[in-house]
Amino acid sequence: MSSEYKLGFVLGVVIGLFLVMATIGIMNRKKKWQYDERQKLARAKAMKWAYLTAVGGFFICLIADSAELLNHEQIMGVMTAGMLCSAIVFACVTIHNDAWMALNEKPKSVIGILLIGLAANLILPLGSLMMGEVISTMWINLAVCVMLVIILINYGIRRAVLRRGNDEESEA
Amino acid sequence: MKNLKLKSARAAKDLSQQQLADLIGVSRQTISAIEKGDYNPTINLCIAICRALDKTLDELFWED
Repeated sequence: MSSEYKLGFVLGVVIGLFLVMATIGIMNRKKKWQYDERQKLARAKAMKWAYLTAVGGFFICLIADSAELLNHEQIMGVMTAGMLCSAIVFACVTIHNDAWMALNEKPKSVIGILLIGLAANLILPLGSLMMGEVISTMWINLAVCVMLVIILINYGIRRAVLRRGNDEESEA
Repeated sequence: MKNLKLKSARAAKDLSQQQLADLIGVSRQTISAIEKGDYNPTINLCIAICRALDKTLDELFWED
């Protein structure tokens, strides 16, 4: 597989993600998620930790590159993993502070978006495996799948905790 | 430290956490966090809570 193909593939993924985010942004423009002051504070903290995680990933890449420990592809991999970890940190911190995508307002649509993302990122690697080909960059899609599964698990845990909290309040 | 004054004032008004949250435009979890003492609200939110419960700041948030 030529390097142009790989570059085009990564560029395609990035552009695809951008288009999805832009579509979601346009769809939510009329009804923007409303966060209260505690949720805004929690999101700011989540952003800080996500930023630090991403910086940590880039720092590892910098060290690996300067020490020539990893080749170019491996550094790209570490960089991508750092960004995915950063996204996981942001999602988990906001989920556990009830400050992510209005958790209680539209849980079905949130889960739907995550499941669509999960399916979309499974189609390419599974399709290529069924065709007997192994795409070297398919691990990116699998890593995104892992990220989405972690987010969904955290979402489920938080939903269970909130349900228990609601029960406790109704008992009081 | 738990804010039992807020909890009892809310109960006296016969409001659930969700109802109080809807009245002042915050999430139920925020009211829960204030009552548990996990979150210190800003003065604006304190005033909104006091107005919703017909109490003064001292009555709900002042610790002797």
